[in-house]
Amino acid sequence: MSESLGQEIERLRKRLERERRARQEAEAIAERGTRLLYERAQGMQLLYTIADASSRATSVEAAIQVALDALCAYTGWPVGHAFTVTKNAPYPLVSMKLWHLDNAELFAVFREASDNISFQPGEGLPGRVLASGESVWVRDVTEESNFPRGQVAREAGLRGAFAIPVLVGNNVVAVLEFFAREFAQPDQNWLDVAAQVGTQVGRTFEREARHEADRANRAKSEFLSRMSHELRTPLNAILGFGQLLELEDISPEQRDSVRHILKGGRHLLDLVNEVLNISRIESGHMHFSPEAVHLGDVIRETVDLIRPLAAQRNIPVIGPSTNVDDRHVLADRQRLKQLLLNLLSNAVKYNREGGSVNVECTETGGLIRLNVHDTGTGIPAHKLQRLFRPFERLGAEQGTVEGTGLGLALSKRLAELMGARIGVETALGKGSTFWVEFEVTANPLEVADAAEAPVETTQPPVQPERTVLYIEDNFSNLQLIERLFARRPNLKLLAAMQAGLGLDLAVQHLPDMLLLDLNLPDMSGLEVLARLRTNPHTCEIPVVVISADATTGQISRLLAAGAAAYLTKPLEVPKFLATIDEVLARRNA
Amino acid sequence: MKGIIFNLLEEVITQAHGEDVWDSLLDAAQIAGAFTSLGNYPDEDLLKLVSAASLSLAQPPAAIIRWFGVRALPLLAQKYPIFFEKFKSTRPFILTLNGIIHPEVRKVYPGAEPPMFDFDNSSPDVLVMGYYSKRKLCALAEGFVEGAAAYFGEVVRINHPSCMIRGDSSCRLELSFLPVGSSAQCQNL
Repeated sequence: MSESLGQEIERLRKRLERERRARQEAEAIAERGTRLLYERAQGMQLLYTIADASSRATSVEAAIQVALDALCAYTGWPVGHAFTVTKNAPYPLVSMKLWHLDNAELFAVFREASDNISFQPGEGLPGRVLASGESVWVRDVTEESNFPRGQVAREAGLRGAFAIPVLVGNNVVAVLEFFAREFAQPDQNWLDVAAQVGTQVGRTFEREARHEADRANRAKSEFLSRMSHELRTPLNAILGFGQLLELEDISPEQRDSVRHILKGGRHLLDLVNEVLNISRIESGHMHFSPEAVHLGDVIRETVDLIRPLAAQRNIPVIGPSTNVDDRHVLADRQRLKQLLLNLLSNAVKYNREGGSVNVECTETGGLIRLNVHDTGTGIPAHKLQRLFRPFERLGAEQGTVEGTGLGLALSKRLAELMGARIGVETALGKGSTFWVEFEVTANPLEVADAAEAPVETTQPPVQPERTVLYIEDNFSNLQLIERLFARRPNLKLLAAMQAGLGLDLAVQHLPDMLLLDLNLPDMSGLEVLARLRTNPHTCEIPVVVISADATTGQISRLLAAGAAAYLTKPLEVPKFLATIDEVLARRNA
Repeated sequence: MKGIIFNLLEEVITQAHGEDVWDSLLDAAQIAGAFTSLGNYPDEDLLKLVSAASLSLAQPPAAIIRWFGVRALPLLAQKYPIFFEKFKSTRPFILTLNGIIHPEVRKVYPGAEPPMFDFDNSSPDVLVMGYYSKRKLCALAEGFVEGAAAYFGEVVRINHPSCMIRGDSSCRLELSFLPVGSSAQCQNL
C-alpha cells in the first residue's frame, strides 16, 4: 500500500513537473511572440516615420538625415552615417557628411576620417554594399580585414556595424552605415526593416531625379520658345522687305528671286512656328479657343492650300466628299487647319510620284473621323510607335523629304488638346491612312464667320495729313515701317528707339496714332501703354501694338490695357495697312 | 507538429484510459511530455507515442491515429465552436478547411504546416477529397472526418482508393455522408 502510495505520489510529482515545464515553455514562447510583435510594431513605426518624412522631405539630404536618426533610435546604436554614390572613378563612394552621433566629441576623429575617405566598389563596409546591392553586417569592425577605418573605429570604441543600400530600382544610389559600441550579432528583423528604409529613402532620390528631369524639360521648352522668338524677329525683316520688293516695279528675274526669298523665308517661319508650338504645348502655354467649326469648309480650305504642292509631284488630291457639308466639330479653327495641313502635306511628301491623296470622312455614333489616305510605301510595324514622337523622322533616312520631324508630334498634341484622337492604319507597299476623330457638335445657328473685308493695298483712300509715332528699338523693323508708310503719303512717321524718348515725343507732337513694340530696352511696352493712358494729353491716342509675341495671353493683356489693335510680326503687309487705315478712320469719326 | 495535437492526444487517451496510461506511454516512448499548445515538437514524438499506444492497446498504428481523430474532433468543436456552429452538416463544414480553418490555424500557431486538401464537389453524393502532407497522416484526416460526421449527426462512408502510405503520390478520399441510422461502412482503414 505504502509502495503504491509512494508510486502514486511519484507519478503525481512527475505530472506536476510536466505541467510546470509546459507552463514555463508556454510563457517563454508567449514572451518571444510578444517581443517579436513589439519589434515589428517598432519597425512599422520606423517605416511610417521614414515614409512620411521622405514624402515631405524637400531634399534627399533631409530624407537621409531622418533615416539616420530614426534607425539609430530604433537600434539604439550611437553612430549613423551616409555615403553617396558619385560618378568619381575609381572611388565613387563619397561621404554625404550627414551623421547621427550620440556624442559628437567622442566620435569626432572617426567622423573626420569617414568624411575624408572615399571607397571603390567592394572596398570597406560601404564598398561591399555597393558591390552586392545588399545589406552587410560586421560583428566587429576592429577585427574585420576589409575595413580601412578599423584603427579610428577602435579608438572611438566602435565594434559592431551594419550598412544598407539606398536603392532606386536595382541601383545603389547611397549607402547608410551604422555602428555600435558592442559586438553585434546579425539581426534579421533589423536587416529587413533597414532594407525597407533603404527603399523608402530611394524614393526621395527618384523623386528628385524626376523633378530634375521636369526642370530640364521646362528649361528646354523655354529655350526653344525664346529661340524661336528670337528667330522670328530677323525673319520679320526678311519677309517684310521681301513683300515690299514684290510690290515694286521690278524685272521678272528680280521678281523670281524675291519669290524664292519669300518662299524660303516662309518655310523657315513655318519651321520656327512648329518648334514654338511644340514648346508651347509642352510648357502648357498653348491657348485654344474652341468653337463649332464647319468641317467641310476647313477641309476644302486646307485641301486648296495643299493642291499646289501636290500638283508639283503629280499627285491628285481627291475629296472631300459632300457628306460632311453640314457637319460641325468642336475645335479651334486655326489649330484644326494646322493639323489637317500637317497630315495632308505628309500625305503628299511621303507619297510616291504619281500617287494620290484621298480625303474622306466617316461617321459612327456621334464621332466623325477624317481620313487622309496616301499611296506611299506604308510604315513598318516596328516604327509605328515612334511615329508621333517629336524629332523622329521616319522617312528622313531617305534624305529626300524636308521637315523638322515635329509635324506628327505637333498634330498629335493639337488633336489631344482639342479632345480629338489621332491614329494611323498602314499597309506596307500600299499606303497609310492617318485619321483624326472628333465628336460631332451641333450646327451653330449663326455662323460667326465675319467675312474679311477685301484689302486695298494699291489705292489708299485720300485723307488729310496724319502723324504716326513708332516706338521700336529694332532698326530694320523701323525701316520696314518707314518703307510701308511711303505707300500712305498722307502719313508722317516719327520714330523713337527708346520708350522714354517715345513718351516725350508723344506729349510734344500728340500724334494721331502710335505704333508700339513691346520689347524695348528701357521699359516694357505694357508700361509705355499704361503711361500714355494715364496722361490726359495722350490718353486718347490709339495705340497699335506690333510684337513678335503671338501668345494669346499677351494679346488679350495688351488689348485689355487699352491697345486699339495688336499685330504680330512678321507683319502681313496688307493686314498692317488695313489696320492703320481702320484705326485712323475710327479716330476721324 | 504543433503542441495542440499532443495536448489533444493526451486528453483523448486520458479520457478513455486514464492518466496512468498516458504516463506509461510517455515513459515507453521516452518523451518528457511537457507539451504546450504554443510549442512545436518533432513529428517523430507523435509517431513514438502512437507506436507505444499501438503496443499497449494492441491496435495497429493507423487504427490508433484514426481513433484519435474521431475522439479529438468533439474536443476541437468544444475549444473552437466558431468553426462549427455555422454548419448543420459535415460536407459544407469540411469544404471550409482550406479557406477558413487552416488559415486561422496559421495565424494562431505561427509555423504550423497543416495539410493541403483539394476537393471535387461536383457530385451531390460523393465528396472527393485529395490529401497532401509530408506527414502522411491520412488516417488522422479520416478520423477527423468521421468525428465531424458524428458531431453533425451523420455517418460517413470513406473510400480511400489511392494512398501515399501504399506508395501513391497522394491520398484520395471519397466521402459519402448519410443520416444516422443508415448503414455505413468504412473501407481501407
